Amino acid sequence: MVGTREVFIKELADNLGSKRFWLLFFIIYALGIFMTYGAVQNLGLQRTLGENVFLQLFVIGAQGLPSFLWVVIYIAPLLGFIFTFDAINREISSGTLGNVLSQPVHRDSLINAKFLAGVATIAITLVGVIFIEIGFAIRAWSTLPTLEEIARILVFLLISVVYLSIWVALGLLFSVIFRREGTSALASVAVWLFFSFFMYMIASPLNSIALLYFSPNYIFLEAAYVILSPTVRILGPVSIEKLYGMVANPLSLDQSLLLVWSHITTLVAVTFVIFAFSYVKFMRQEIRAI
Amino acid sequence: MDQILAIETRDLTKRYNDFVAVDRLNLSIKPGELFGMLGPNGAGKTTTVLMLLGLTEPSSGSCRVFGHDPFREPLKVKSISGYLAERMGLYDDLTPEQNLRYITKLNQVPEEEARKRIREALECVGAINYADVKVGKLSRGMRQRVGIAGVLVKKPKVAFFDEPTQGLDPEGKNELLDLLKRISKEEGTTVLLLSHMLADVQHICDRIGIMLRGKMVALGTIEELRTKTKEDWVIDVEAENITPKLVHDLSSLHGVKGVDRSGKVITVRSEKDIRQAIMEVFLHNKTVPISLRARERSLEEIYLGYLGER
Repeated sequence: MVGTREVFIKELADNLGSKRFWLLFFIIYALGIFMTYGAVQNLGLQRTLGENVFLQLFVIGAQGLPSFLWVVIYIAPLLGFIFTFDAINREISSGTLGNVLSQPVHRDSLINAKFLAGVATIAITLVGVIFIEIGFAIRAWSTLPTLEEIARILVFLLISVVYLSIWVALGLLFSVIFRREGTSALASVAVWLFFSFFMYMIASPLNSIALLYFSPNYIFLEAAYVILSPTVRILGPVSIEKLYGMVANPLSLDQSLLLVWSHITTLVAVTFVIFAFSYVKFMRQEIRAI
Repeated sequence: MDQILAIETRDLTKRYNDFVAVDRLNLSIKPGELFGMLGPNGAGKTTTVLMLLGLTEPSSGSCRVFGHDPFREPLKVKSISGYLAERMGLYDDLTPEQNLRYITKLNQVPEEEARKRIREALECVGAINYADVKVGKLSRGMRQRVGIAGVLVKKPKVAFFDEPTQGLDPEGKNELLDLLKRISKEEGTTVLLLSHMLADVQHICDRIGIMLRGKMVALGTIEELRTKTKEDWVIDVEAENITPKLVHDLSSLHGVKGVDRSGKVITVRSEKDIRQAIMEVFLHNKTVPISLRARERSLEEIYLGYLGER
């Protein structure tokens, strides 16, 4: 598309150069490194029996500390919408939208590029922090991750990017719907709070797992957990009969993927639906003079 | 020879629900012309430009920019036209240089050429010394200049300037208008200048159109606008001892369309030269005018006259 590349490059540069990015970047990196350090030091993880220590690194937290997976589920969404919640309405309020759209670019190039720039920013951040953690663990354990572990970490990375893209798209949607930047910021935070905390407050007293499946957080949690823990063979409520005679062998990657395939497709679908909404809304928005 | 018009609209109409922003507008502007579009706020000037740029869809009618339909070939039209919106639309957290670079990138101008154009444009508007200061820190006048530079780097065939002089001091205003005139004359760019201030357009524009409630109520060169107006004579009479009877006698003269009194000055508007008749009225009332002067209706009055017709 004409202009998508140019807008994308500008947006990405803006994102990576902004104060909000560095603030969250610092928080996520600090948390990530802190948790890895804790896990390596205190859990005494060892690869004596061929355990997937490099995977456990991400799911197990040391002594009451949350794990890195927790950071991705609850904190990283902030990174998702922090760039996009004012992506469109700020351009409108500062008058730059008219300027950009009077250049020879297609209208959708703008919103596409903004979405992609948001996704790219998250991907860069996640790749960075995961690599640092792995490097740290390699130093501490003097052992290298196996191919299986590398493959699983890559899949985990991909799912995380998809999950966080939901938040990118959500911020973008609010920035199209609301004219004021403050409103769209609050709306984004409200949704984030709801799915991160309130959802569990509602679901646990009701004892309803089904309700939790409406939360992208929970869907991602299950998907990531299965990918990072090869020993998980079954999801949801399990009857004793089912468990009887089951061999407690770790699954291969493709079997784990099969187990959470529906989760992954759901996450992708939700992302696209939310983005499609903002796309349509943006394309129909009238640029008014009066 | 049939020349392609720079801008052509045919019964161009834009409705927002019940409100008609632009009402069957017919306008032809030749290439290289500096056209001033005058009208109060909300007259439909900006809406017209948005339609010409393909940013807003017309309700009915059609428009062409150098023969291209803004809706069939939006990219074509956008690549030959430059637009300076009322709220300039510069990124505050970028420098003028970065702002212009973004525009050249969006226009696919090659790097080498872009660097040259950006320099030239900033020099032309006199903002070269501020090339590396963030736009947010610039004064309003300087931002306006950078905004114009943003139009110049595209080297457009047609440029739209929406209220470019708003919020500028008189000196800055004049410099800016000179600049627009220079762009039009030296580069041969067709310029459409929108303004609600008559003073902005009357000195530099080749032709002026006055827009009111979505309609073009008057169109032509300044001379044409003057002669077209129905009232030809405005006579100022200065006198002592002005009595109501005097005013009454003056207004009952043949051909008089209106008499206004402010202090010692009586202004008589009439269809023809009635200076002699006025003198006679004064003599009749046993007073002598201190001065009596016929003047041309200023454009300001013409413009206000149109606004008064609302």
